[in-house]
Amino acid sequence: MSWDQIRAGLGTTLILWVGAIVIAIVIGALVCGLRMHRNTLVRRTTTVIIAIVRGIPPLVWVFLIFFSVTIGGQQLGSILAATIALGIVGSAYLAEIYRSGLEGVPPGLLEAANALGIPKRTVLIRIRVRLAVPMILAATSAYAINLLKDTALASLIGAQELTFLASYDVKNGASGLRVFLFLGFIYLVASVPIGILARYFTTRAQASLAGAR
Amino acid sequence: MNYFIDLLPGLLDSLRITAVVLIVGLPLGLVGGLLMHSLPRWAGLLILAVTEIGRGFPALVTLYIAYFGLPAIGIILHSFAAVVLSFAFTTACYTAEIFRASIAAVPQAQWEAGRALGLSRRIVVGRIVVPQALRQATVPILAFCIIIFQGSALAYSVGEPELLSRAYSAGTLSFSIMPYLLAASVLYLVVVLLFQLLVSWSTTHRNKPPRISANPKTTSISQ
Repeated sequence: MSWDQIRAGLGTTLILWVGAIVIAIVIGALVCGLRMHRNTLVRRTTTVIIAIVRGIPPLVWVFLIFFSVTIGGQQLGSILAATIALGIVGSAYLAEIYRSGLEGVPPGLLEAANALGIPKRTVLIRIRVRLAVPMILAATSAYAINLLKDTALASLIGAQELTFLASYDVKNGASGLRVFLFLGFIYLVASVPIGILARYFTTRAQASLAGAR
Repeated sequence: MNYFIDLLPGLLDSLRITAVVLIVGLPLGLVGGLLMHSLPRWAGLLILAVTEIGRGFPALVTLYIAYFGLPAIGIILHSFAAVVLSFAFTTACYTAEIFRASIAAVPQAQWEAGRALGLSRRIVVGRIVVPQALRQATVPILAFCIIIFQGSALAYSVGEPELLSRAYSAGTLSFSIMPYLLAASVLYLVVVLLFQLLVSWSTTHRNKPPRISANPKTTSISQ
């Protein structure tokens, strides 16, 4: 693969990745709020929706979004469709990550805070969320690494990211072994920065767990 | 509905892929995890390097290497074989880490007690350490099984006629892809949810693992 191709492909891959992550983080928070709502109907419906979103394979989601959404007669562009699809899947996973982080906060702490008369909203934000953040950051960064690899799926609907450009090369006669091995290492190398971040967050999360005891 | 009936062979193929991948990949992962745990430094690091590559490459790319790359060195694989080989490798790499962690989680005391009782290393590993490790590993491994089933959809990219492939083919032939995609989604969901139900049913009905403890009636301290 030429360096120009790598640069172009990497750019598209990063757009897909960052777009999906942002959607997942924002919508995931929303869904988590619904998932932990007081109203039982809201909670149960959200649980079902999360199960459905997680149960359908990401690639199928990509196809679903790509082929279903037509705005004013125009089909969605493949990059947009893939970003939305991966974002939707990600939001379901992140919603569960947020939820387990929030539920992992020692209940005794929350009871003590309530008993002290601290208003519920303050307890939620300044205590529960703050304590859940280390674990949430660790799990989210681990998920981000997986999301980077999932962007390769966009190649199957024609998005011109790294995998697509590599396949194009091979179809035109380049050595499949060399190109795809190289491609794999590009993904590996690209995941190193977030990997370092993920490891940092994980050790901080484990330290904060030990401190809370 | 007709759509479901048309897709059933695809579902069968997806299940077949999943089954073979797990049958081949999980034992490999277990061996890998064991080796990583017990081999000397450099050998364990070598296996770690392999698993990092297996986990670091997107599964789609590993599949492409098996299907499009191997012919460059003379190995031409049928799509099913390429899918199974590459996914089994990916499975082995991910599960090796799961098994390694679960083996490390078994208290060192178990190993020491076994050796102190005069049991051979093989028996200690096979009959004492590994069963306890497997109990720890059950949940993440089962979660991974679901991921593999969902991952079978990737086989579409090499023309393997699994569920998503058939949905796409049937859809493009009839110029209405959404009904087929939706039917395929439902089928994936049904399998995943059934599996999860099965898992939660079996874990609630499981007995507590027998503890290695002395029965006061049968042990005696005799000189």
